[in-house]
Amino acid sequence: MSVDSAELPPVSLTEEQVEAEEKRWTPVRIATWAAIAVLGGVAWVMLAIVRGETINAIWFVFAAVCTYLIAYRFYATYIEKKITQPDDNRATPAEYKENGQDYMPTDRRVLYGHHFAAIAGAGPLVGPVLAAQLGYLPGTIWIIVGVVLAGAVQDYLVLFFSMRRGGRSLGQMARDELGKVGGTAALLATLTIMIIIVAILALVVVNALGESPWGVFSVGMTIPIALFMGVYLRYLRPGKVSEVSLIGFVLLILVIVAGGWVADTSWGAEWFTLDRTTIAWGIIIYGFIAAVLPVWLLLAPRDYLSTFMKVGTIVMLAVAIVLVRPEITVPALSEFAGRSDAPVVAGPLFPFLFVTIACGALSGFHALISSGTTPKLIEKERQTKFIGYGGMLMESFVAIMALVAAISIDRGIYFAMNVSAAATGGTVEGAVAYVNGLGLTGVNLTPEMLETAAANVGEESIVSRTGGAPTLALGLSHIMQQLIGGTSLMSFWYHFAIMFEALFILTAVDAGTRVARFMLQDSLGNFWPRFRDTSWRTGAWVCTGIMVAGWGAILIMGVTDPLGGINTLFPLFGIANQLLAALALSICLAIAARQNRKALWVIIVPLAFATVVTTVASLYKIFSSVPSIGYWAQHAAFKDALARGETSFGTAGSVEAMEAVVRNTFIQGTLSIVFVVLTLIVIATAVMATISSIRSGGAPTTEEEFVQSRIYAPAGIISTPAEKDLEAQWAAYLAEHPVERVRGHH
Amino acid sequence: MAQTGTMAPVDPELSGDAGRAARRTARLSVGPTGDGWWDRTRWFIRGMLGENAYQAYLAHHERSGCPTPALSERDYWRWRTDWQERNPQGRCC
Repeated sequence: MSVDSAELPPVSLTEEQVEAEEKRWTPVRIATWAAIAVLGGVAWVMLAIVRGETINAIWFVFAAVCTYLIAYRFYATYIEKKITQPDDNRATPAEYKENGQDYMPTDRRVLYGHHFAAIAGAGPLVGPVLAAQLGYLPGTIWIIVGVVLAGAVQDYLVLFFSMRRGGRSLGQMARDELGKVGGTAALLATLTIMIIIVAILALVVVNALGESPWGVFSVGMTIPIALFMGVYLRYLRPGKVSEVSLIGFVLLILVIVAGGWVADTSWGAEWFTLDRTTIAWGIIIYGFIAAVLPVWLLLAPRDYLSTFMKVGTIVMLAVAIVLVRPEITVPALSEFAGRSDAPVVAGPLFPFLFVTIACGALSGFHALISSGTTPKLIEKERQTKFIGYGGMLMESFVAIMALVAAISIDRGIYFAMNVSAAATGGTVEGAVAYVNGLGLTGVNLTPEMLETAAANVGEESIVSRTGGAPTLALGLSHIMQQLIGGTSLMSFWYHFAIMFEALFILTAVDAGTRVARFMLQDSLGNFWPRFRDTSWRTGAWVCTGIMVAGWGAILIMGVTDPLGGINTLFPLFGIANQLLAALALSICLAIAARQNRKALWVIIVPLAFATVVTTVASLYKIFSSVPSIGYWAQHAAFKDALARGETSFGTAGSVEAMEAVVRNTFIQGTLSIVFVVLTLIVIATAVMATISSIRSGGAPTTEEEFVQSRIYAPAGIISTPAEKDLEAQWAAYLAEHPVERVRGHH
Repeated sequence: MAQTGTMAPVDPELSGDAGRAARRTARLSVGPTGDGWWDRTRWFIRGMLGENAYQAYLAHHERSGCPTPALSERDYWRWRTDWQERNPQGRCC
């Protein structure tokens, strides 16, 4: 080193200082934590034990926030001490590889927002809505306990381990830790899982927009808006991102309002009332074009718009729930909690609750963001707890709010919206007969209730609007109208919510297609090196085409499925997502064992749970003899009926429909087998690597070499007294050395 | 492996947001341009949307002591989106 680092102020608190901060239990501190614990405890008692006629939504907020605070302060700190052991003397990749591009030290508070915007999408909004069929308690417990012990742990560990490895991706870490077999299985699993996730997200949008001219118009208009923003940023005012996002946002509000006018005209209703199959084809074509167009034209501006909307709407919903504090009439445990014939997603609570709600409690997809993008932006190692663990807690809070929104609407309406058209016939009368026939206490659905609700939100009908998004939108509009505007604004809020979900699902669709295309090109490059060249147009088009065909086929299958599509496919989404989590956790386990860490149970507990849940769920899907649960049972039942020469069977009214079921269940059943086999291979190789590391007391590290850090920044959102002191020392140092910087170049 | 050590001076002429931000903090990251709530909110939103990437690049360029002149704002954003073209970032469900 050409400059004596001794003349710099310390770049890290000493271990003693950190220890002293943690153990400084002043009376005020003790009182604060005691109050948090008591409030959280009371809230849990209100939710789980005291069951009056209704329960106020504010208890959900208290139970969640108090549990998060305690988990962050104590459990995440335990993980920090036992597993990650960050060292602020070590430069992060953002510092030693800084390039003004992807490696860029970013303020921890900004990065928190950035990371949150990247991980949170439609997942935490959809799963809790579907799980609300079981009552509010199972979902609430799993979302909050799951995030503390599983989801946040996974995000934190993957982020930290990737950061120590220069920001390596999950796939690269799998190869490094598990060797060729485990690495290849991990890559294949990731690729197939991405296809199914993109397909099912797209299905959510299709279901929300089908037969809704208002929705089709306003969501369709986001494409020209994004193109305009792209041209604006490229040619008119480069870099003015918040300016163009604001313009885009205003235009978005305009098209939401205009959607109502357009849908009211005869030409508008005629042009924009599209059936689901047409919309699905539209999204497939859009997905292909978006993935091959230049990023600056469509993808980047859409992403800005989506971030803007996402954070804005989530903050708005949180504020509204706290201010409105809706009374919830849904029971803690519904009639379906103890049965396996629930009408929205079939199957017993264990394991199907845990795959219906993936995002918000444990989401494997986050491992792809926590490795690769975010670790290259972290300024100091100790900030990983705040970004990784803390970021996932925020997503869990979003899931809790989605649950609250879904259970704030009438339970009869909830079931009428979420039960597939196969059961309701898609008509108001059919839905009323079906829902009242379920024999649910306190549910007395009338045709007027459904018609009024549909009219309030400006839709022709809300019967069998499956997929979660419309229910959430209705819940959100129900809460927001109590705050602003009354029933006259309900239709605006409804379509605002639909727009907000469609926007970031479509962002996930085109970003996912691009990422998958690059993964495929990289894999094909092993056999045909030219595919590695990602600027080779033909290769890019071929690989994009393959990826789009993959998710497009599943999407079309879901849309045309006589059994109701999303309700049979959604469990596959949850299983896929959690298998990815099991895969990520098993890689973390292998790494922690290599480093000879002792508290491995922190990883083993969520890994074992995710493995058991997804394996059991997959086995149900493969082997269950109940046709509504098992894909192969369904497959066999329809095949037999065809063989007997029947022309209609169950909900399928024609031979073609029956053949479609046979085909669909074959694909779904095959995918279930592929997922579970690939993931078990990865977990097995990881467990073997772990055992061999434990036997030999650790193994050579796969981390990058130590580089001395020459900068300082605090670890959490609020600086501690010792951190403030250090910041002051740095401020004084920089005041004395005004033109010197503390960091060299490559 | 990157080297550490050479103290590269920040150009005292470096003006605007980037200059102020580079001098304000002990960190490498771009800080708010002032202490008022508006400055802080603006800084947070811009940071989250990625708008401050150019400021961060300028500060990085100055620190690195690289003799070639820094890219203009327009060229920087082209370089950045072209780079994104080759390095797609996932978005989560």
